[in-house]
Amino acid sequence: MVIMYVLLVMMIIAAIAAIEMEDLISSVIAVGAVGLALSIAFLVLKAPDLAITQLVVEILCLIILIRATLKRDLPFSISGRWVFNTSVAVLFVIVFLIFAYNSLKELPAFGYPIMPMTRWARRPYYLRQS
Amino acid sequence: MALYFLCIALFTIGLYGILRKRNIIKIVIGMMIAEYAVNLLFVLIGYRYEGRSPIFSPDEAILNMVDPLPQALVLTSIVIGLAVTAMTVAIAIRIYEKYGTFDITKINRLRG
Amino acid sequence: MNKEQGMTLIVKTITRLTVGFILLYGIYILMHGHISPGGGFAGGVIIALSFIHLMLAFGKETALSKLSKPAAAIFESFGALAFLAIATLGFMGGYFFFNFFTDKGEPFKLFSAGIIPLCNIAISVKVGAGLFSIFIILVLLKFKTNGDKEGK
Repeated sequence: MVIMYVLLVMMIIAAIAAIEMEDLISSVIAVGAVGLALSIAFLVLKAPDLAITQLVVEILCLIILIRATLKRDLPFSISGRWVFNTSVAVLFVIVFLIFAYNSLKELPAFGYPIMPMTRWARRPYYLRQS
Repeated sequence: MALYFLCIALFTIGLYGILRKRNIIKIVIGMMIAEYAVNLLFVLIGYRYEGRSPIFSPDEAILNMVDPLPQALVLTSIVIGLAVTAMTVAIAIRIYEKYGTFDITKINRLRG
Repeated sequence: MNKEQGMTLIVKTITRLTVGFILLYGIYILMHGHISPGGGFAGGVIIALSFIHLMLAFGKETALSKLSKPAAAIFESFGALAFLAIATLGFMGGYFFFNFFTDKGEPFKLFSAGIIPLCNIAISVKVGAGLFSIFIILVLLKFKTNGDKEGK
């Protein structure tokens, strides 16, 4: 599944670009790139209904964002106070990622979606643990 | 396993955008990115190795499909995400009409 | 003002050629909702996108002459009431959403699967008219600073 990794790395790079850029029109275009990569990912994961719906909803969100807000104000944004706020936000994100990593180890491997609790041989083990 | 972790990383990028940005449009963009990440994680969990899409067809057997239950749930979730985005943009427009700016540190006058 | 006339000549020519096909494609995805992927919601959004395309290219008078604001409100209510009528008509056969067609047809044809195509039509009418009304209200109306509403 190399193509899934390529799509996910492209989504992360486009999301970082969308959040950090100062020009508002450029960041809305970057959100459009994230939505397009998500629609292709739904197609690779064999879900065609979701791919059609995600594509048309993405187009409608982009039209609403550009036409309703960017025509009324100067299209630039500035950032605020730096050291304390950014360090608290980054600390929170690191704690969140540690908890997420410890809980994602319990999921089955990608592609074999039968959770171990539904197999008959392991049921008495889990019942005895609780 | 690395795929799930990259999904959670995308969610934290959107969360950082909600927490740290001063422009209301950037906060709306952060909410959209977080919603995309959650939908992708849900569909990734239900994927079966070498499966086919869960659609009836008269010339293929009804065997070895991917899990169709997360797909039905994520369809409703995409619709809800569109409605939340439209409502948040409407609130942002109303704030601009009243205070004259999109900056959240300047909307601190308490008046009716 | 020049801005009220819409966009440039290239955009207007392409829009005249393609906006009918967008509407037809939306109706196609809607009517084949029980055979191939798509269904009521995606078809309704594509129908709304065709009207929004007309409005972005030509200005608001042309689009509002095709589907005016009271007409969009009436279509939205009609979609909700039609869905409710389908549900309560099934009540006479036993329970809600009963499949009250007697001739159910064979699978993979266009006239099969009971009441699902009628539900798809009702949902798409409501979603299309609702999204078009949302776009009109977000883009066209403007508030005065002391509270009254005026149309632009």
